[in-house]
Amino acid sequence: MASPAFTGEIYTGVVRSAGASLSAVGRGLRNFLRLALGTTSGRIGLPIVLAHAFVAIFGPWLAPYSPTDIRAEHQFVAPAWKQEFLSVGKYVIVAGSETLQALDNGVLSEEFRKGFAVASPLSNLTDAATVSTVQEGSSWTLNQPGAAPYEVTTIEGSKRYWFGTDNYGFDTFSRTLAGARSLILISLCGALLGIFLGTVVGMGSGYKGGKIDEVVMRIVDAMMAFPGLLLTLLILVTLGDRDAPWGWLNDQWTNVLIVITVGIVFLPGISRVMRSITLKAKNQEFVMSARLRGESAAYIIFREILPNAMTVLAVELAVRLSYSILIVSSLGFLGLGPEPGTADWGVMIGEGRTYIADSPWIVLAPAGAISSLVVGVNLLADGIRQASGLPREITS
Amino acid sequence: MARFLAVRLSLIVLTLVLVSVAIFIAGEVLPGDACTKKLGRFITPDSYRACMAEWDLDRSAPVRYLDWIAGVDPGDGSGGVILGDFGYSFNQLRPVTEVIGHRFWYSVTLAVIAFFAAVPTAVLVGIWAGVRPDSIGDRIVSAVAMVGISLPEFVTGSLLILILASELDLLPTLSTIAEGETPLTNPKILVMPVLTLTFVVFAYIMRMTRANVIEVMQSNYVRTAILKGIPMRRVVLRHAVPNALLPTISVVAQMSGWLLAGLIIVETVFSYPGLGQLLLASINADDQPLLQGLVLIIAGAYTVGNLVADLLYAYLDPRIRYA
Repeated sequence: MASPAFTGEIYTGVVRSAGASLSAVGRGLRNFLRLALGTTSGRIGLPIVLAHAFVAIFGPWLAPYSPTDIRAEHQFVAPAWKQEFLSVGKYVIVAGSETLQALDNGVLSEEFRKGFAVASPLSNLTDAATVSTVQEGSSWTLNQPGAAPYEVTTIEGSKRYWFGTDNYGFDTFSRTLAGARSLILISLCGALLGIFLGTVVGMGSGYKGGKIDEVVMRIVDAMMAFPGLLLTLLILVTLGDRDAPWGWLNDQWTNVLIVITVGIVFLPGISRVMRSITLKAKNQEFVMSARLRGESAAYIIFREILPNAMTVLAVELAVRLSYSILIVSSLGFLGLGPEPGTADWGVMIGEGRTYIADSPWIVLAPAGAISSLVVGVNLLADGIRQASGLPREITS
Repeated sequence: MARFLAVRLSLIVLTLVLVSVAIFIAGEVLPGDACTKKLGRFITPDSYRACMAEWDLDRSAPVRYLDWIAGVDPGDGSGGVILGDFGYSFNQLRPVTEVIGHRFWYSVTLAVIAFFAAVPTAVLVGIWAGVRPDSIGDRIVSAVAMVGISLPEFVTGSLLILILASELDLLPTLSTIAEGETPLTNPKILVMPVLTLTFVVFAYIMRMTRANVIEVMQSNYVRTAILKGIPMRRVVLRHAVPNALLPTISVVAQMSGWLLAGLIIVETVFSYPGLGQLLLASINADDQPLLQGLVLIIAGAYTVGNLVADLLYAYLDPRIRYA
């Protein structure tokens, strides 16, 4: 293991400060950056995560097409990097099929068919026309199969879809960019809710101790004995079909349910971690003196003990975020999350896998996006953990 | 030990009772009752009443719950869940146990093969990497494990289909099982589902083992053993590994939960006819009795997996047994 650049002082109560001033925020940010950039993992992970955050915020403006821009005639267009094979030359239309065939070679390859799909908006093809450029927006009509050869000189249009298009005729690249925001937002909200619930339950229970602690921890044990994804499925099935309790929530109701379930699934693990921190801090001098000053339990928990747990919480947040992304995207894949056709990475892979043999790019673009995001988050979590010298705890 | 076992067993029973109540209540609050959905637009007051009576839906929820669990109503000939009778599937009009049928064993086959492929290799590789931290080999293995914990099963599965089935044409794309066949008579279909599950499980357990071995290797007693001049091989295998493996066992228990969740996704990716695929189908078809039965079976398998791990842990670590 790399030598820790910053040995964690989480249990000794050095970092506690009562002032929530701007300088405290600055200090927190500086501390975070020092931890995040202190190891190789963090130095690789942080930029990846930041890039995804950038896309999540600005993605819709970066996208070349609107993610709702469906063009039925542009289905399954191959991505730009796949189109080298469509070279300048003479092609004929094969009778009875919407394909072009190279004049000098009788065998029509699968790649060629896809390449043609890209070139489909050939401008106003007429008999024996020489296609010099491919213009956007013009439609292709196949009036005379087996007509005279067409000469293709440049295929400008083929460069238009970097990652091709999918079964709806969406631009895969635009849809992938647009999918970042909802996935990251839902996963982050779920992870944050879990952290919040777990912190309140764990610290409260640990600080109070006695019978309350006993009962709460037994309930937490029972919750842990139930597989998370199954619980998520059941809650979604039970409540997902209903109307939201408030009308304005209807559009987001599934997402709200997903956030709540992810929070509940994470509660037991996080509350255990926070409880053990509270138990260790409880008998230390700074807590004693606060108690002697007559501070309330809530003050002691949140203003005295919690600041010491910030590093642990940062690691927890990163680890939980990666789990949460896996859960949320899996729900999309299973068809239990967002509606079909939504710009969502899980949904895209779930729909695209039917066409994986012929049009792998439909799956590859969102798969790459989701993989890089989770790898980045996990690297960041590892980096912070190593830099702060925390023990490697596998949480569930 | 007897007391420990008794406490754990009663906790299992309690968990399963809670799960059964929860899944039953979940069915109760579903919007629109089953008969309205089943009859669709052919619904008449008479047919609705007949349907309600046929499925015993006209009685109070507690009575139906008890009938479902214990078969207290002798009239319908149902023995109840405690006798292994899960009632009738709404949509298929067959007993739930019959619908589940071979699928239970198909899922078990998949999970068991993945488990025994992943756990021993992960532990061995974890020990190997843990005794030489930050070496080239360790870095490569750690990078692979990082990818393993980061890729969702449906991404790994889709990539495998793309490479092994679509591009290289080595394996069938879908893992369907024909009539009269079992997964073991046609092992080709098992390869990709097993690989997908194995990758995830391997990554988690390998990381855990590696971290524990690194920690134990830095401890005083291992350092003493090294300084005493005991051969390194013996230090690792006899002194370090037994202690390093203890926390790994609890992760292996958690993995049984991951495997079950993974089954739902992997079976969907490969169209493998197991419990996970059936669970999703029962959700989509609103088949409450089937869904309830499946959830109970899966929760039961999960808790039993946890129990086995707990017992193993207690057996290996006396501090737990006598605590």
